Amino acid sequence: MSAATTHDAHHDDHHHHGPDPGVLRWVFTTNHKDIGTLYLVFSFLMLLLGGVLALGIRAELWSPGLQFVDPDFFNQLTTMHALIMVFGAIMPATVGFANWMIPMMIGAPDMALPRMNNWSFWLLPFAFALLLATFFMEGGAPAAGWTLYPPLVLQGGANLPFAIFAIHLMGISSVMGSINIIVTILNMRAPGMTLLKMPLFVWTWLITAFLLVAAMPVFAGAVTMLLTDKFFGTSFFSAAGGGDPVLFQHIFWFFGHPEVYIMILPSFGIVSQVLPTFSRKPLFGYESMVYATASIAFLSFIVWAHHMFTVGMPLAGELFFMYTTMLIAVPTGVKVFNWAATMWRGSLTFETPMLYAIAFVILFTIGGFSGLMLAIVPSDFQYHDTYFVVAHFHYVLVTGALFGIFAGVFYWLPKWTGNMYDERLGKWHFWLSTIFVNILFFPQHFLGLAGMPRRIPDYAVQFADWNMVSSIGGFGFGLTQLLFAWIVLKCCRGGKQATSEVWDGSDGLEWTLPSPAPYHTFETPPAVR
Amino acid sequence: MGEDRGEAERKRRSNVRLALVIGIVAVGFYGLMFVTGWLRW
Amino acid sequence: MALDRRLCRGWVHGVSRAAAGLAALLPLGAAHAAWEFNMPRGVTLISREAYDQHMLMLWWCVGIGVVVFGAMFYSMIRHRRAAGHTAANFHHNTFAEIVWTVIPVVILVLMAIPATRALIVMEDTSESDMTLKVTGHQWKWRYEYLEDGVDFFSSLAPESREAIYSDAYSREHYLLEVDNEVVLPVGRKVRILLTANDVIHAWWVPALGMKKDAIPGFINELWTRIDEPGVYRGQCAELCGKDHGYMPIVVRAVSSEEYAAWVGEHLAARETAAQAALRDWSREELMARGEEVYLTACAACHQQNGRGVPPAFPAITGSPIATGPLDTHLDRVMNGKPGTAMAAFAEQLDDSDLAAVITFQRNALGNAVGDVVQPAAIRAAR
Repeated sequence: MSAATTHDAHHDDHHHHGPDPGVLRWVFTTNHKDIGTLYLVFSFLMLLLGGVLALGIRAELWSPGLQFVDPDFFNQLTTMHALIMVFGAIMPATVGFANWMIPMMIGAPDMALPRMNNWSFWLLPFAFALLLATFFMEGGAPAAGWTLYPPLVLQGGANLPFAIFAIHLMGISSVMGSINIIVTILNMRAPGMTLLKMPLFVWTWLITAFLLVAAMPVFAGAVTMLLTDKFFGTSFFSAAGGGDPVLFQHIFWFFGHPEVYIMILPSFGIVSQVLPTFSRKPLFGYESMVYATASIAFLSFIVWAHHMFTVGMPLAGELFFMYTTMLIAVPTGVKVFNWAATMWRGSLTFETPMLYAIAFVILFTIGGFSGLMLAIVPSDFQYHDTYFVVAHFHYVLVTGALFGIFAGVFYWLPKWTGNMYDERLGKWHFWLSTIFVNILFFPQHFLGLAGMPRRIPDYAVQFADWNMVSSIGGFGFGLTQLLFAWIVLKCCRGGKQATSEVWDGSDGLEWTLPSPAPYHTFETPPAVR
Repeated sequence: MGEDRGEAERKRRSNVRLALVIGIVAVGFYGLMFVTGWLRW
Repeated sequence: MALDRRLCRGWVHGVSRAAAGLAALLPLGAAHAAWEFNMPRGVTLISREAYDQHMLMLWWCVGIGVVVFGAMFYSMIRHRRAAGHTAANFHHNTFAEIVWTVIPVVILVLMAIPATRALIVMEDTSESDMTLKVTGHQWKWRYEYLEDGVDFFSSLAPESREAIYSDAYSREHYLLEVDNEVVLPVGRKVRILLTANDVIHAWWVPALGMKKDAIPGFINELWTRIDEPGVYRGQCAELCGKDHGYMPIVVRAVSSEEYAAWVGEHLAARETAAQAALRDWSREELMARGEEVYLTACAACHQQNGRGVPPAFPAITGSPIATGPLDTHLDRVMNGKPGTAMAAFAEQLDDSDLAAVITFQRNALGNAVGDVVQPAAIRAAR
């Protein structure tokens, strides 16, 4: 391809067109690769921070009785762990991938609105500074769960307005990020790159971005109403003032269910890039993958009340949400079958990204199975708000979204740094993560079925044994992530020089660029067949 | 060269226009929530 | 120091149990009660419906999993490049796509039919024999038997509360025991009405098979008909603040005769208590009773030593309210402080208990105001 040769010629003197030296480069940068890096580094720091909070939870749950924290601080840990992981780790990581890869995958020179891109990122550190500052306030951090249900959340002290303002900033950041992504994809594609020629990762992000634009303002509206209820005398959610506390749950989950797809769809996209590469075979059923993703996105807006089956809905409502929720299994199943069919009769090799992608398909599907079980209202009355639910959403978010992110990092790291990562360490990271994460979360299914509610700091002695197993897994999984940091650092500092293609089965515009990808790419659009 | 710049400018305007439309829709969703809250209250 | 010792005991205990547990895992038959891994079948029609749906879905999922993962593992073994397999180049097959869209739809319909049937049965609260109203409070339950006139609060048993910081294993039913159990007759359809006083709670006894939220300003309902006499334990299932993990539910199912006798005893005890509230109490009586009440009603937030967990849960020791004018103190205890976890105890405690606990707060926990509150003063303040 002509574009590739042009950039190879530029490769040797790309320093002249490269970034400014010094720290200010990162503050003022409008380069999609720099901003992608910022997002990824930030999200990894948040992953570690949220992980430390999770280890606090697992330490307290090691044995019955209270050993480390008091119950109120425990609730702060669960609340902040969730908020940090959802808004600080998973979402920014996927936005980091979007920034790095979308322009390179569609042959665009950069994101459509580079200065807004810079702003989208730089809102996040301030948002999280506000959120984390609540730990040091009188009364501590928010402790009503990340779902922020009133009236409980309104009992919170000084932390509430800070947390809400932080959520507003995160919302503005992700809506601006999404706008940027939508505009980039719709307006900046290289000539010949029709919508149905785009890599699936670009498709999943396009759909994710629409979900974000529709869902984040809903959440922002809900928390603003909390704020006015607390400080300005409204009663949107207060029964005593004529309002409706359940309305908050409806609004929250109208945001919250699309939110879980916001976290998982980009990983679907990553896995759909990785599996064909290491199967040396094109993605099976590309178009049906696109339609399945779009169907999942649509359905995500009409299933929200399955998070609140115990809230006392009329029978007809329960049936409606049960059926729509079950329906999600159809497009999700199509995706899983297509992934399996992509591997089928390929020529498989098992480099770290492939291992993560395969683990993603299997473990995400296990999370999907428990999701299907949770959709069945009669048994959901037993599962609801127990550790069964905790196990379910950690399977889809950790072994799903996070494993997808790991797959993506190992897959594209050579393209980003120009060096191959240490494959042996990568495999260690994979096996340790996969084994420990299952020790961590699989027993939580048993705990929930046996009757342990979620969000409790202390439990009856019959839950002691599985909790200890789970905690062992938790500490193992947490420590393993330090190895991840080491692998990435090592790769940034050196290693075997990566080729342009990196993987022998790779296919797509990003692999026509040299490794590392030059600071400016596709300033003249590539020709797409 | 002049034509190129015109093309770039056209592209930029198109990007900003699309961004504004999506942004307005997002703000609309935000506002809609208060209507919902108020109707129920 | 005390914390160190507690930690040590917890961890040592934990490690020894883990070792025992791992040993128990090896011979799979030697199931220890604590290695429970499935949903209980329970003792009501509802719990059995939930269990049956659960098992049905579980086997469907296992079956689908075996097929899908089996195909993937087959592919991983046979279609390796290391095994010399070269890649085919197909990437589309409309027939396959239709098959794996239609088959899941059919399976889903097969799943939905029994689920719908079960749900209709579970949600039918009509033709009940008696009604129990359950109100969630931070962090206790109030039970009102609407026909029989029984009305009481049920909190975590003090013995469990004391074990939190010492030795959880000293209590067989740690955190699942209460001071006042709910008594229900077997074989009768009980309609349970749920609401809450402060924040959202959820009432859940796994063996009865259903949980539902208790929401302030709303009344939810569920029903149960317990088949076998016994003691069934559960707990609050919706995060409701600091002591969410410490508001258990204990249901004792008994025969109709025993139930009637229990109602009689309960009403008689209440009459005795009402009589006691009409006389003047001695300071010693008030202080002794006050300490008991303090431990169940106040200590969860204000702590056993009265020092609280400021700022959310202020200290009573030296507090301007507990050492200030009596009127303010009465008002705070009886009417609570809206917007905080401080409940209005006027409806939770009777005149004697209120008088006793206020006397106790003013003259113990490091306070020494010196005055004594009589039940008559509470009656006048109501």
